[in-house]
Amino acid sequence: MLAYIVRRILYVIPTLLGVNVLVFVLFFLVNSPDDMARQALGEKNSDPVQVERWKEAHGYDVPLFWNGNASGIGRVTKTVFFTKSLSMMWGDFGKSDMTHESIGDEIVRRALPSLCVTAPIFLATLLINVFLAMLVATARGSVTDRVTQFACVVFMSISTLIYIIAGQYFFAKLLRWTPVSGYLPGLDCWKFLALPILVGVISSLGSGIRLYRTLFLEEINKDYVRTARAKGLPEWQILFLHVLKNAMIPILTNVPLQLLMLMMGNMMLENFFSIPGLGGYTITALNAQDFAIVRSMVFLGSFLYVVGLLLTDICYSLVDPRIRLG
Amino acid sequence: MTEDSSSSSGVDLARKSGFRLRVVLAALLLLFCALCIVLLRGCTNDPWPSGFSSSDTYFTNYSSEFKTFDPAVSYYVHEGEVLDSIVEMPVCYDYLKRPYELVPMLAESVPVPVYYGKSGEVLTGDPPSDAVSRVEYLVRVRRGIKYQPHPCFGVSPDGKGAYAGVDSKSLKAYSSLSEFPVQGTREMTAVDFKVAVTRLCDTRLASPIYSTFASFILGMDECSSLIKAEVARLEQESQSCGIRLESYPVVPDYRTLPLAGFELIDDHTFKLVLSRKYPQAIYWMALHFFSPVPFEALEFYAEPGVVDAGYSFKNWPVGTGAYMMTECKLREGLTLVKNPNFRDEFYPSSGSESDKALGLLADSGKRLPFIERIRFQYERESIPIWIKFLQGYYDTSGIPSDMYDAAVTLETNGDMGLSPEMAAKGMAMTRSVTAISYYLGFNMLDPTVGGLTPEKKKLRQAISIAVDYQEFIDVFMNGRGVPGQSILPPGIYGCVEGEAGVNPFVDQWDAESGKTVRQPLARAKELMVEAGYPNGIGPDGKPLVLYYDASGSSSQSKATFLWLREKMSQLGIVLEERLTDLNRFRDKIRTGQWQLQFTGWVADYPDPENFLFLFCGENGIVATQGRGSNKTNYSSSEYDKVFKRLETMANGPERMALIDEAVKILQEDAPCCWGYHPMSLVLTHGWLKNYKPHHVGKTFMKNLRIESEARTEYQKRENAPVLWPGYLVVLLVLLVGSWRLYVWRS
Amino acid sequence: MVEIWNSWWFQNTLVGLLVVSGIAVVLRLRRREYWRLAYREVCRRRGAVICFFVLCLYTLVALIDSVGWRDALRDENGELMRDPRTGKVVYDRGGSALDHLLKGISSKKEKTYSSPMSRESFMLESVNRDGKVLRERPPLKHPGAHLLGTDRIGQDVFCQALKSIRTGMVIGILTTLLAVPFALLLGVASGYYGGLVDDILQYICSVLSSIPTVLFIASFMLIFGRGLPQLCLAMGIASWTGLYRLLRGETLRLREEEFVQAAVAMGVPSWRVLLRHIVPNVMHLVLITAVLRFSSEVLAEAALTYLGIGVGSDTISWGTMINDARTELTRDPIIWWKLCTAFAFMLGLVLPANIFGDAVRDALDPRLRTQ
Repeated sequence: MLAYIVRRILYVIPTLLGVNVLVFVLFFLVNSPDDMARQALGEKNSDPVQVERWKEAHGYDVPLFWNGNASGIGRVTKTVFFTKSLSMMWGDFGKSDMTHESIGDEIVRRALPSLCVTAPIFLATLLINVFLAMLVATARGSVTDRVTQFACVVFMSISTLIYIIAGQYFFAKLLRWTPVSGYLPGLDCWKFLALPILVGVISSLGSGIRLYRTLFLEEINKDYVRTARAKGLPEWQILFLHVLKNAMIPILTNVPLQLLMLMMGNMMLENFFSIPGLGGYTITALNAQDFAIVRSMVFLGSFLYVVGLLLTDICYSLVDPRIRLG
Repeated sequence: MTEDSSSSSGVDLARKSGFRLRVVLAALLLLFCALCIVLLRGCTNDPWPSGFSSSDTYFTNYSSEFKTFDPAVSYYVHEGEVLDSIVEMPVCYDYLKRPYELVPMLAESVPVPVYYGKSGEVLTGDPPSDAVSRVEYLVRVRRGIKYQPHPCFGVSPDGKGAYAGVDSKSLKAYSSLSEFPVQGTREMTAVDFKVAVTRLCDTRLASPIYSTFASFILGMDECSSLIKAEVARLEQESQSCGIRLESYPVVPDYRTLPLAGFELIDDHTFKLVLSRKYPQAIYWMALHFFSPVPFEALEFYAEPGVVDAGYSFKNWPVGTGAYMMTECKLREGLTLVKNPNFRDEFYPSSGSESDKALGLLADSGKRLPFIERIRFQYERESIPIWIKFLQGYYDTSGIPSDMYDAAVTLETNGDMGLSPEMAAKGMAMTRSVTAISYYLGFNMLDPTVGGLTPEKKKLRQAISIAVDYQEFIDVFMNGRGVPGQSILPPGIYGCVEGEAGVNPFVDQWDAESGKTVRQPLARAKELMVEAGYPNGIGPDGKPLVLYYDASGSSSQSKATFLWLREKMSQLGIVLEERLTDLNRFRDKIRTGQWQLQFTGWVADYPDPENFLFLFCGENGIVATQGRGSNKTNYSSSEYDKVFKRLETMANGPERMALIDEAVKILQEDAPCCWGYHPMSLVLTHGWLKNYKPHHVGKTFMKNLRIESEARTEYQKRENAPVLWPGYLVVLLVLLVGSWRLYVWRS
Repeated sequence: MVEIWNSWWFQNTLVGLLVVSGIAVVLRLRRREYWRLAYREVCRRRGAVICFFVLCLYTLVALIDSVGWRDALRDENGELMRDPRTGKVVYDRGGSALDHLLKGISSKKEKTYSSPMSRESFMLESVNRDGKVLRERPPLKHPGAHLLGTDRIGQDVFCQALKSIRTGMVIGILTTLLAVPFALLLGVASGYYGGLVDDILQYICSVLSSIPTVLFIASFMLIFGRGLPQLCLAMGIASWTGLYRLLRGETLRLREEEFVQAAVAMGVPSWRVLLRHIVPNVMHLVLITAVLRFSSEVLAEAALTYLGIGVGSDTISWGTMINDARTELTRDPIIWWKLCTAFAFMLGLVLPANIFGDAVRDALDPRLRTQ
C-alpha cells in the first residue's frame, strides 16, 4: 500500500514539471519578455531602451535558459526559467508585473474566500445529487423518471450565466433574502455566500443527477443486486448499503473532475458576486494583462488538480484493492 | 419448520429495520425543514459588517480604481474626494457660498499677490502682465495644527524614528498602519509646504501639474535638475550597498534642496515667488498639490521593511485633515475615521436665504467633523449601487440612466423633479450644472486623424458632425446634459450660449426649437470627399479604419462604443475598439499611442484659463512626457499666441474677445469632437444633512451629518425579506416528503 | 493571416469544402450496414428526429451566414464609384448572404430601446406640447418592424440573435474538427503501438489535462489575443485529451480482438491495420463524443465571453448579448427581451443538441444505453 502511494506521489513530480515547462513555453517562448514589455509599454512604443528598462524592473533581463555571464550555479539559477517558472515548484510565485505585490501573499489571502464558496457548493452538490439520483433510480422507467430525465437535459442546456442572473434577480432583488453582491471577512460572510452557493448547486443539478443516475443503474443491473433481491433483502437495504457503497467508487473518481469544473464556476461566481477569491484575482489579472499572475494561477490550478487526482487515487486504492495490486 | 420460522423472522426484521429507516428519514426531513426555516429567518441583505449600518458611518462608493493618493500625483476627481478629506491646503472654497469663494484653511488669511516691476518697484492695481517681473505671495500658516496620529512620527527611546531599519516580518502582524504600536504626531510647519512644492519637481513622480507650476513658480526647472543630480548620487550610494533601486527608491532631502520660488521665512511663514503674473496661482493653493507633506512620512515609506510590508505613501497619505485612513484595500474598499488631532473647525455660519430654507445652516458653529467614519466601497457596476441606495445602505447616489424614469418626473415647466415614490421615501434631489466638459478627443500626433492640414481638419469636422452628441445625451443620459460647442462649459466666464455660441463648423442654429443641431450628414460626406476619403474609402482603396481606445469594459462603455461605431459607419468609417486596463490606458495616453478616446475635464477652479490651457501646445502630454494636461497633444502657434494673451488677464471685454478668438480656432481645428456638459442630479436620503454639491472643491465630507436612527428605521422598513415563497417551498417539501414516506410504507 | 481569414473567397471556399466533405462522409457511411441500423434506430425516436431538424435549421442559418460577397459602392447618382488614382471599382466591406437577406430589418434602426412588436419607443422623452413639457413615448421610426424589440442603441434584437447562430455553430463545429484528428491519430497510435510511444503520449496528455481548461484557454487568449479563431483553437487543444483517453482504451481492447490479430498474423502493415480495422471500429465513439460535446462548447462560449476571454466585443454572440443585457433586468421598468432572446436561441440549439446527442449515443453504442 505504502509503495503504491509513494509511487503515485513520485509520478506527480514529472507531471508538475511538465506543466511548468508548458507554462514556460507559452509565456516566455511564444510570448517573449520583449513582447511582454512591448505590450506593457504600448504597441508602437518599442523603444529598445524602454523595453530593457521594463525588463530590468521586472526581472526579465536575464537569459531564458543559460546564463553564460554568471559563474558556477548562477549559470542555471540566474535565468528567467529558473527565477520565474521553476521557482513556482517550491511555492515562490514572485511579484505581480503591474502592482509589484507579492503573488504568494495574495494567494494566501484569497484562498479562504474561495474555499468558503467552493467547499460548501461541492459538498452540497454531492449530497443533493446523490440523494436525488437515488430517488430517480428507484423509480426507473416510470413517468417521473422520464420527466426528470428531460428536466435534467433542460437544466444542462442553460448557461451558468443565466442561473446567476436569474438567481440575483429573484433572491436578491425580488425576495430581498441576501445582498446583491459583496463580501465581508469573518463570520459576516455567510449572508454573502448563501446566494452564490445556492446558484452553484442549482446549476450543477442537471448534469449531476444524470451522471449519478447512470452510475446507480449500472450497479443495479449487476448480479450481486439480483442475488440480494432473490435473498429477500428489502429494497432500501440493497440501495443504501450495497448499491451506494459500490457506486461511490466511480463517484469518488469524479471528485477532482468536479473540483476542476468548480474552478470555472468559481471564476464566474466570484466575479458576479464580487467575492475577493482566487477566481476574481485571475479575472482581474487577465483584464489587466498581468502575465505574472496568470502564469502563477495556471500553475496553481494544475497543482490543485494533480493533488486532487492523487488523493482520489489513494482513496480509490483504499476502497478497491485491485487497483493497488494491479 | 425451522426454515419457515427463519424466513418469517427475516421478513420481520426487514420490516422492523424498514420502520427504523422511515423514522430516520422523517427526522432528517424535519431537520432539513427546520434548518431551512432558521436560515430563512436569518436572512438579511445588509451588505455591511453587523453593527456598521447603525453606526455613525457615511457610506459611499467608487467604481474607477484608485491609482494613487500621493498629493503630488493624484489628479482624478474620485481620488480627490478621498485625499482631500485627509490632507488640507493653504486655502479652500467656502462650502456654501456661490459663486465659489476662497477662504483660508491652513493659512491665516487668503494670500494676496504683491507685484514687482522690472526695476523691483511694487506695482499696485492690476498691472499688465508684461510689466510684471516678479510676484510674491506671503503665506502665514496657522499655529498649533497637528498631524494625524501616524507611525512615521513615532519616536523610539533613542530619539530616532521608531521604525527606522524595521524588519518587514514584524510589521506583517498588523493589518493596517493604524494598528502599529508606536504612533506619534507633530505640529505642521512651513517646511512641510517646502517639501510638498519641491517634491513636485522630482521627475520620478511625473507630477501632472509640474509643467503648469513650472510655468509660473520661479526656479522649478533648476530645482528639478538639482533633484535629478541628487537622486543619481543617492542611487549610486545605495547601489553600492546592494539595494535594488526599483523596489526601494531613494528619497532626497526636499527640505534642504534650494527652490528659488519658495522662500522659508520662519516656522510659520513662507513666501511663494512667481516668475510672472498669474492670478490663478491662488486657486492652485486650494488643490492638494499644495498640501503639506511631512518629511518623516517620506522617510518612513522609504524604509525597506515598510516597503516590503506593502505600505506606501501613495496608498496611505498623511495629513492634517478631518479624517485619516485606517483601511486601504484598493479593490475592496477604504475606511476613513475621524482624526483625533483635528484642529478646531466649525461649520460655516453664513449662507444664502435658500441655504437657510434648505436647513443647511442648522448646524452653524458646531465643531467639525460630524461623522465618525467614512466607508468607500469598491463597486464595479452601477446597478448594485442603485439597489443598495434604495435599500438605504448608501447615503447618496447619482441616478443611473437606467433608473431615470423611476426616479424623476418632469414638471410642467420642463424642470426635473423627484418622482412621488422617491419623495415618499424621504429622499431629496439636488440638481446642479457641473463645470465639466466631456469630449471625444483625437490624438493630434496620430498620422491618420491628427495634424493641422486642411484635409485632416475636414476629416475631424466630418466625424464631429456624424457623432451627434445630442442623440448621445438622449440615449444614454435621459437628456441630462448640454451638447458642447467648445471646451467651455456653461457658467464659466467666456462661454457663449444660444445662437451666437454655435460652432459654425459642425452645428447650426435651429430657430424653431431654439436649440443647436448638427449640420446635415450630407455636409459631413462632402467634408469626407474633401478630406480624401470619399464614402470612407481612403487613397489605398480600403475603408478608413479608426481605433477607439478605452479602458475597462462595462456594458455601458460597450454600448457607447457601438453607438460611436454606428455613427462613424454613416461616413463609411470602420471603428474598432482597443481595450486595456486603466493603468495601461494611462500609459498609452502618456506616450501618445492612441487614436480616439472619450475623456473629460473637471474644472480645478472657475476660470476659462483652466479649460483653454488643455489645448496649449506646451502642455502636450507627450511633449512633456506625461506631465502636461493636453491629452490631444494639440499644438498650434496661432492658438498659443492668443492663449498666452488671455491667460492672465482680468475678466473684461478684452479678455472676452480673446476667448472668442481662441474658441473659434479650436472649433475650426477640431482637435476633439466637443461632447457634452453633464447636469448633475444627486439623490440623498432624508437622514443625510448638510449636503450641498460643490463642483470645484472636494473637502465636503467633514460637513456632512447623519441621523443614524432615521437610517436604521428606514433600513428595517425597506429591507424586510419576502419570506412566504420560502415557507411555501419548505411546506411543499414537507408535504411531498411525508407523502412519499407514507406511500412507501403502504 | 487575419486578412485571408476574413476575406470572403476564403470563407466561401471553406464552407463549400465543409459541405462537400460532409455529404461525402454521409454517402459513404450509408453504404455500411452498421450505420444504416443506427440511422434507423435514431429515426425510431420522434423527439430525436424533431431535434435533428431543428439542428439542421440552425446549421442552415449558420451556412448562409458564412458565405457572402462584397458589393461595389455607388454614389448618389447610382454610378459605380472608382478609385480616383487607379480607376478600380471600390467595394464595401461586404456582408454574408444572411446580412443581405436581413438588410431590410437590420437597417431599420431606432434611437434606443423598444419592446417587441411595439409601435412606440420604450423610453420616455420630453415633448413640448402647447407650451407644456410632457414626458411621453415617441412613435418609432419603423413601428411594428422589430419582432423582438431593439436594444439600447436601437439595433434589432432578432437580427443579433440570428447572427449569433453562426458564432455558436462555428465554435461547436470547429472546435470538434480541430480536436478530433489529434485525438484520433494519437489515441489510436498510443493504444496500438504501446511501449515508449504510449508512455510519451500519455505523459503529454496528463500534463495537458492537469491544466484547468478555463485557465488554459485564458492564457492562450491572453497571448494570442481575443477572437473567434483563437477561441476555437484554444478550446480544441484543451479538449482533445478526453477523447484521446477513450480511444486509447478502445484500441487497447480492439488490438486483442481476433480479426486484428489475424490481420497482423497475415503480415498486413500496421498502418493498414490501423486504417482498415481499428479506425472504423472507433468511429462511433468519435461521433458520440463530438455530438455530446457540441452543446457544452456552445455554452462555454457564453461563460468565457463574460469572463473577458471569449470572442471579442465586435463579434456578435449569445455570450456578448447576455453580457450586455444582464444589467437590463434590474432596470425599472424591466427590459427583458434581449436577455430572453439570447437565452431562447441558445436553448433552442443546445437542448436539441443534447437530446439528439443522447439518441445518437444510444443508437451507436448499446453498451452505454441507459435503460
